Amino acid sequence: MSKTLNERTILVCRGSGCNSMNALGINSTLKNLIQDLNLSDYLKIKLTGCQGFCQFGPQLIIKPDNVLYVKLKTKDIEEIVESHLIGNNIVERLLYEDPTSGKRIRNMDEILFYKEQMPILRKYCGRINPEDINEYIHVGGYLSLKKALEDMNPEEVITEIKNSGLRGRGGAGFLTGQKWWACRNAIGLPKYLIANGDEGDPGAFMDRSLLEADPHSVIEGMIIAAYAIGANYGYIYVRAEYPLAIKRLEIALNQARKENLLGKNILNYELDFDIILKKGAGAFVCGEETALMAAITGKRGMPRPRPPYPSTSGVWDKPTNINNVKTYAYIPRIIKNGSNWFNSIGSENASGTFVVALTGKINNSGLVEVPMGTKINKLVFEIGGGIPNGKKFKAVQIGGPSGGCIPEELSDTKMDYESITSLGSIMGSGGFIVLDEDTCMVELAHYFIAFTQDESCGKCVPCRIGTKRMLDLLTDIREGKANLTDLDSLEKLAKIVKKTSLCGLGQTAPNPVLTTLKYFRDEYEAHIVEKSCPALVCKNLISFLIDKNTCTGCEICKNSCPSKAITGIAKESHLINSDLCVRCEICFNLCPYNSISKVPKYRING
Amino acid sequence: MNDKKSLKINETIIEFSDGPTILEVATTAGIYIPTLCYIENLTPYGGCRLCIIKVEGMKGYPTACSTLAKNDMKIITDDEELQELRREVVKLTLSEHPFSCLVCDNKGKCEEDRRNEGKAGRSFGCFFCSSKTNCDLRKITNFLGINDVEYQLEYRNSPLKRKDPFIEIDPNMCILCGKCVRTCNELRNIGAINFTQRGHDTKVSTAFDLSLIDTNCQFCGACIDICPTGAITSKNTKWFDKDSNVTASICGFCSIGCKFDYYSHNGLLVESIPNKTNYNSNKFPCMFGRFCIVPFNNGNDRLKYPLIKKNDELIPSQWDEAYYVIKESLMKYEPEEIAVLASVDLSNESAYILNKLSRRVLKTDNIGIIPNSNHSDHLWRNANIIGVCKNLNLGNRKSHEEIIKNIKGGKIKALYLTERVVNPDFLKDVEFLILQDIYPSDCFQYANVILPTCTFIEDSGSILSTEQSISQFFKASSNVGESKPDWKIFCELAKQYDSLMGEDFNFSNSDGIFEEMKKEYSDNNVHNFEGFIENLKIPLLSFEEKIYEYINQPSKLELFKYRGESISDQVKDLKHLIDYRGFKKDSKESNVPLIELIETRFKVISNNEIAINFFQLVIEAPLIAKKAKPSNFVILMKDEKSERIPITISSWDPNKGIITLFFQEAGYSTMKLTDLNAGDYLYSIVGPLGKDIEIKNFGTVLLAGGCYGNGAIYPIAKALKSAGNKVNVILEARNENLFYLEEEFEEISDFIIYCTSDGSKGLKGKIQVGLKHIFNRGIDVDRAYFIGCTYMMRDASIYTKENGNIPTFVSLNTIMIDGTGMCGCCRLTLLQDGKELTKFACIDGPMFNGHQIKWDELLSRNERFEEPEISIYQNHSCKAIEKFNKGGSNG
Repeated sequence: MSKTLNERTILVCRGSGCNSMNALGINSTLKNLIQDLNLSDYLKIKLTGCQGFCQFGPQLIIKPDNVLYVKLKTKDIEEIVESHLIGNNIVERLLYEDPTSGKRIRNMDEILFYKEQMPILRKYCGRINPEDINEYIHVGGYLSLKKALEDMNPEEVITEIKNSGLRGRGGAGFLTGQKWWACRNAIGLPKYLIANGDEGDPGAFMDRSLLEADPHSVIEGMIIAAYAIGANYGYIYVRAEYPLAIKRLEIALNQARKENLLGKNILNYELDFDIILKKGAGAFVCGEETALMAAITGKRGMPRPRPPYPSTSGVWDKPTNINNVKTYAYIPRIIKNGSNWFNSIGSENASGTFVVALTGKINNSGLVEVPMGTKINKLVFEIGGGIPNGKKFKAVQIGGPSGGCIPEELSDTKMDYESITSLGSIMGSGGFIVLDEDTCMVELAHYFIAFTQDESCGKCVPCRIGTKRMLDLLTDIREGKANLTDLDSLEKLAKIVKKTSLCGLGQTAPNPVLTTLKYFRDEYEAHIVEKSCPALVCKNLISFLIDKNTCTGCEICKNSCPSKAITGIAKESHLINSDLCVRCEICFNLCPYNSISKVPKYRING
Repeated sequence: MNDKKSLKINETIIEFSDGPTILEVATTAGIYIPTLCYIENLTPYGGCRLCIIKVEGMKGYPTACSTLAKNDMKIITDDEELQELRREVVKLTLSEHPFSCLVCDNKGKCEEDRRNEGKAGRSFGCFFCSSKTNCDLRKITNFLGINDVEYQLEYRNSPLKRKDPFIEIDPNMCILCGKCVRTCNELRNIGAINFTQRGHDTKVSTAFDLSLIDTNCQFCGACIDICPTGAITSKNTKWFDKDSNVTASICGFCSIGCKFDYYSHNGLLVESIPNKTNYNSNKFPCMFGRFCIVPFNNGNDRLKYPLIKKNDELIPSQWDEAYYVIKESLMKYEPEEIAVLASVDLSNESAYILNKLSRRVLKTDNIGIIPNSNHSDHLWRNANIIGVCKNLNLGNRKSHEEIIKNIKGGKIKALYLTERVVNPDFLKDVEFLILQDIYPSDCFQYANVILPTCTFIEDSGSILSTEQSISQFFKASSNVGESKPDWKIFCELAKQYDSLMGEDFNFSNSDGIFEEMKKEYSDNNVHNFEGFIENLKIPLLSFEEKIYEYINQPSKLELFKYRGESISDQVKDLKHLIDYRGFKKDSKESNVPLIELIETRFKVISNNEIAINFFQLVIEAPLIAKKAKPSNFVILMKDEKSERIPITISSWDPNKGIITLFFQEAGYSTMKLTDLNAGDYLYSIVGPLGKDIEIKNFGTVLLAGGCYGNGAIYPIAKALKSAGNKVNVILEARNENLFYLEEEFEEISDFIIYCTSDGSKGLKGKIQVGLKHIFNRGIDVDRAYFIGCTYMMRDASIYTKENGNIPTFVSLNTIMIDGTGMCGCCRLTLLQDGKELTKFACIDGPMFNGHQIKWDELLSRNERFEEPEISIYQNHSCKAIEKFNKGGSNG
């Protein structure tokens, strides 16, 4: 038996997504089984961070076979061990199935989702154990820091970063090297670094995943930045809702301190630098740099006008360099491979790669890293695997609540800062929500404005009140109570909020409204003029109908209706009373015969 | 660094030195940039978004308050685009701030009507905002020319906070400019308030929404003085017209000498507001200066006339008689049998003159300082006491001990006290006692002559302050009664005593005395006064810390006195604060019981604020409930000292024996009613009063109510409906949140229409708009009834006169006392067939023919009561003086 048994490593994804689907149970089942079979010498289990393919979690990768098993349950583990790990027969049914060809794919590198990616930032995510510094060091971690300290002076480091063309991955895309220069040249000591991990966009989880899977890259990047800028203290600001990221960061920081990578005289060079982990209380606005700094100093997280910029007067009124966690994580890669290498990747205006969190109406949800300039439709149809259930692709919301909607007809657009901004959206931090034909654009705009107006800090008038008035108007439109002049008022107000708000939150909050108005004005007009919702989403404008011909009178809908709106005798077709119906969609989702359909309201009334 | 630099604002080149923001440069150059949240010297905030400008080379619209001026900047502050953006931002602000006073159609007319502001009561509405004359939002609305707000209106509709001492908060008026928050946190370093919640729910509040009294609030009132709207107000003074005389002076309660601006109205002190410059010299004005000066100075019990003891009674007298009695009595004693004890609150000038009076006229050297109870130094006067001693030429601060010993030993027989003493026992050994004071005290029983003197508000002069310098104070109000400044009393007495001394005491003001002091001290080569101050061995500034330390301790606050009178004894809210925070803390109620209620038959069943500042009061009053008829009213008193308040009976239930009244807090008396809780008792109710009105089928009737009138007109509408009339109703309010009884009205009316000043419900506009609407519908009205404020009833009556001369009846809301036609307060004149008829609202009304009333006379009669309404709020803190009734209550 032992002769046929190969040595293998099993990488169990333990990111938050897989954890929530019982990755822990899978891990312990696997561990117990291997122990029981006394195979520990041959089969090593390795905990990793997010492997990116979140739609198909919990998952594990078997090395060196390069086999990915997806959507696992604990009961599947025995089969994997017996059949694959002992018997060398791949368990076909647990492999990823290509949605177009229907073929099970044995080598994970051949899965389009992975194949088309270019992992630089996420190179070690899902490959190494984030709770063990040695694994990071084993793949070359902290060598960049050593290189910077040994071979480069601080100015050379900044020049290298500047030459690489790296732009801030937080969303605004400011040149990182330039920011560092400003902070290095600023008067005042001590200087501070801040890594912004206050990821707050609905549907975005790039930063969390990075911190959970590869915290040392961020730490190494920060140490290099500290050396280049002359900073002695750093903060990593992570929202408290990310407990796993916080736990792994704490482990990583402690391990780095033990290895003298943080603290006094780092690696025996004249560099004193340490990092404090600051837990945010979960306010979206604290992703804004001045609000974040206020929160660090114990004040209410409210932005302040700039200038002064943080580089001259930041946290504790001292020069401060603040970058997104992803930006810092790129630094070791750039120092290691050189600015030319980084510059050679990506598009004209933007070098390197970017990470997006693919979500929404898409087959392959998950984290994706592609070169700057990758086209939207490539992300949607190749990597993303297209829209589920054969629905039609309608648009994509890029950049979360601060971003905008880009319609299907513009999906040939390259993803880089300038191109996306010219369409009225922003690159943002990596939110990428795919919308299909069942999405109502009014409802979408309403959702995002409700989010931003709720998350506004309340400091400035246009953001606090302006977004509320926009929400009032959107609510009226959604409920079919608006008239066409309201549309002009909405557009005018959106522009005023954009122009007059104090910080980025308010200045970008109207983007979802402005872009949907620009590309889907007819949908708004349908809500107003015809009082109908073309996507059949807005509850006030639709009704539910039971098809007499297909209804079997099974009574499932009748029994589940919370408002007792459905009547009918068993085995005879049922009826929905539109006045009592609260449009909860329960019957619509439960009907085994698809006899219930959503229809525009006027069809019933008229 | 300090090279002159220049920048260009619009078309003007302006020079500046390093440091200032664009807003500061512009303001200095006289260029106006609107702002609602800027505070000088504090960190720029940038929240109101009104000081947005354009700067060449900068993207977007930077705020002038936060952008530093740089050489060669090119700035535009007022092009049409910026103005338009500002207009929209202000409109957004107004969509959440009741703005009927800003954009009401009737604004101009209303301003004319209410030229005298009188009381500025509740802030929710047109002319009931205490901040009318200094409202920044109003100024900016005018500047930008905003006449209407197209946005959906959404007021907070939040209850008013009236339970704290000194401070009242109307969250509805708050525009979240954050000025109070920054003042409390950055300037005062207290941090009692901050923003809470977020997004649209953001508000200014305390931690866990506690009452201010339960936080570390110091009640300095800085938040009130910085508030650009009427959101935070001072309880004592919200009733006043702020267009008053202003006197820059200092607070004389302690030796720190904070600078204050005193506001007076027809000679009556109405407000004390600390000057902003205090903070530049590290002075932190406290609750004593901000809130206590006015009630203390205006206290009801202040001594107003000289009193002379005759046959064991203190008789109010003339000054000349008092001086004569003093002279005649003192003449009987040898100079060494006379002693003088001086108050430490005397000004330098008064102390100097007292010294002259004592040593040259009375020829006595028995001079001392009035001791404090525990014989410690008068803490709050720790600096000035040095000045007083110097002016009295006292080497020994303990000289009073010798004097008291000699009084007890019979050597000293006559005593001139310029303030009461704390342990007055030794006074029984004094044969002739002169007491110069501001309030009655235990010492009255021993006094032969009592002379009323002035406070630092009513006098000018100087004190020695902890800044180690002379701080001057200036007369800021009329004297109370016949009282006179100390130095004046001393001078007049000296002249009476010895006419040869006339030259030495010939001063018309304190300036002359000060000049002489300076000369005197240098002539005698003692050392001049300023030199004396400079050479003081004790650094007086160290005294300041001691005073602040005491101010911060509730238990020490009671120690603060002026002229021997404890400040907390005269200021009810201060007393409450001390009791609550010090030792008698009742965790549930931070409510101040005004005067203990006695149990009567009139039990309060419920008292609810059904709309902002509209209260529904249900009272057990079986006999009234049995006899009440529509338009009847009652006169009620909350306690035995209350004003008698007439209120229309809105509904009654003879079976349950209860009546329902609606009232609005509009003054001191109604404010006291807001404190009523279920289970309390009213002192008295008289009623039902007033003539019954004719109820029968007239055909089609129109009834209109405004504000409190909605509750008052309801029973009439109901009765007329029952009589078979077609009932049309107009309800008027400043905004949608202020309606009540809507359901009841809808039930009994054939047609109902709502009018609001801001259009938030129904028609936009006042009563005329509603009337026009009714008339345009072709409704033929046979009779009209109006109840609301006097202006509303007048305007409505004029309308019905001009449009078909429809018989019109209004219910007059005059001041009443007895309700039996005796006092005459409620008098009015009717014009009937060209003849003037005198009527009394209480017995001939309250309903009158609206076309016959002489409105101008009625309005000016109502204004006549403005002064008493103003003063009553401040004087409520009466200390019971029954035991000195004979002498003390001479006012």
